Amino acid sequence: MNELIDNDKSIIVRTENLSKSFLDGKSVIKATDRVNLTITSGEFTAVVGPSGSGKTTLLNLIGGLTSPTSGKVFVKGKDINQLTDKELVNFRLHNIGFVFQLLNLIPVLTVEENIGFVMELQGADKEQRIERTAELLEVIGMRDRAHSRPSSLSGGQKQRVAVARALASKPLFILADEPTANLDTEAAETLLNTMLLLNEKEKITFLFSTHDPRVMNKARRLITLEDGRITKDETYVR
Amino acid sequence: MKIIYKMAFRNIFRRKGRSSLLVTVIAIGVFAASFAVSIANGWSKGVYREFIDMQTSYLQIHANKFSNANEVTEFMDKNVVQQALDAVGEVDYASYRLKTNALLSTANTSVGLTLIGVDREEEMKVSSVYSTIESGDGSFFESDIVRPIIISKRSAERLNVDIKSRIILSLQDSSGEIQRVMFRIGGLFQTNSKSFDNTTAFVQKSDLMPYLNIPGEAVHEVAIVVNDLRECDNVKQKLSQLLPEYEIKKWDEIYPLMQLVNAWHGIASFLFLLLFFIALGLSTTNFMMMSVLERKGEFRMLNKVGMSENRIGLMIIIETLFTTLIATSIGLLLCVIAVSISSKSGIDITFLFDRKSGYGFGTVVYPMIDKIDFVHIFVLVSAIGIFTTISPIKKVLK
Repeated sequence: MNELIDNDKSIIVRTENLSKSFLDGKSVIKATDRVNLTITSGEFTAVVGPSGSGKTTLLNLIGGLTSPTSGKVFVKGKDINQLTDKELVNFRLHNIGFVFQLLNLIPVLTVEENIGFVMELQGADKEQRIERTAELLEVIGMRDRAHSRPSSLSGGQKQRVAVARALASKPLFILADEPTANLDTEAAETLLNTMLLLNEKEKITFLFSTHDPRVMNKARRLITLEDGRITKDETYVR
Repeated sequence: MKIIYKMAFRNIFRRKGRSSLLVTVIAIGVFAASFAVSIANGWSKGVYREFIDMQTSYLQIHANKFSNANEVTEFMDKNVVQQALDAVGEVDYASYRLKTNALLSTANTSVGLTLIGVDREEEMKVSSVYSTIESGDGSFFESDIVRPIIISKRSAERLNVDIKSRIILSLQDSSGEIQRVMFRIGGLFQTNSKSFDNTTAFVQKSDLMPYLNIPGEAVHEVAIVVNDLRECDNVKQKLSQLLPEYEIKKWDEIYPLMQLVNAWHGIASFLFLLLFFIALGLSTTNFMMMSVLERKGEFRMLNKVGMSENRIGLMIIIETLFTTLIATSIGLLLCVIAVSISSKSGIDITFLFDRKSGYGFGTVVYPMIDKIDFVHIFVLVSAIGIFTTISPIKKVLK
């Protein structure tokens, strides 16, 4: 059955009874509880739910940033929990883009260097990097800030640069953990529009967590988590 | 991985105050350590220069059995030696000496010493003893005194004699006969070596030769100056081939103690630098720990987006190396400036050693720093720089 599912080339991420528990004193807290989930190519999916419902943990498990207590995560058919730490870092580098809530950018690098950072780690040549960075700067509307340092950017601009960096190397999918959490309405709107544009233009799969209704309204698929379990999985045509 | 170097370099300037403080601390440390080494170098060089200039020259040639007993009968043919020396291009000057044991007596007392018969012009090119004769203490065979003898001030004090005082010199000629000759004090020298001063006196070769009963071309010792101290081994090898029947010794073979001084100086300098930089490294570790731990979140983010732990560790190491190498360069530059100033006038260490104590070295030290010291310092600072990052890297990657 698994093999049949993973033979479907459009499936990018599949989780199988994915559980993660934490010890809080003597009690065990189930951050995710037997989550079964499939993400296909090109999706723009939001994981929603109240605070503490397990959104961030689920994203961390899918991104290989934390290991599950039980269950499996398959990315393009590969069980990422079978990888060593070193292999996992390399796997993330080449397959997953990340956008975090905070601390996204490297303060000592300029905007364009931040965008090209992952590509440089991958060993992409300079010309290719410059071309791709220029293209993304154009898309996120920040060409004039190419040589600025992150400290001189607004929160929204920082997040747009983070998105550009995450997809600069054209990963399989992008994981964004509450990307609009610290943004005002206008900045959040701009960021979401940028993400949507890139999703459509570059066919990049986005999976992000949020409890922001503005973001939920833009998502084409909403996965609702409550107490670590999926309670709803709805698809919308927008 | 240009980006790692770029990030490491820019990280140094991220906290300018702290980085400046760290650079200042290391630069002062490097300056202090390297200047201390340059003083030790100057002192060490002073010690063996003193021996070379006053006592041994660069090389000496003796008849094989001459050894330290100063046997009058064990002499060489000056013409043979001269021919050989002429064939070796590196030889600049040579002094052909007579050498014997003698007893100097006054009406009150007597002292035994080594008497060296020299040709004034030749001797002044290979030995600086003449330069230690102060004004008012006579001259190095320049006066019109008949049969002058140059003794040390120390010997003069023991014999209770002064310039132009008469002195009876007793020595044994080649046939075993005791010869007694009257000399007059022509000059008083004073080197920094008490033992040399107490056991050495100079007369003119022409005044000594008639009392030794040896052929006119006989010499007991040839002192040689070559064009470069580093050529001593090479010249020795050449002369050994040309004069296989004679014994040729370098300055540090004549006084093996000098080899010890040289070797010990090298080891002590290196150990001093090592200990000094380990101490400096411990303080650097604290700086690096603070610098790294406050960026823990950033390093985690880098790791999440795909920067391996090795690369993060490498970046921290490069950052530390950049900082320490900048600081080391500043410290060494300060040292070079200090050495170039102090090496002209010298540093008077009379407060440590009284000149009269005669330990064998001067009381003015001329600091000097060698290329090898720079290499040692850079290697040590780099090694310790890497060492100091181990703990911060471990903490941040845990």
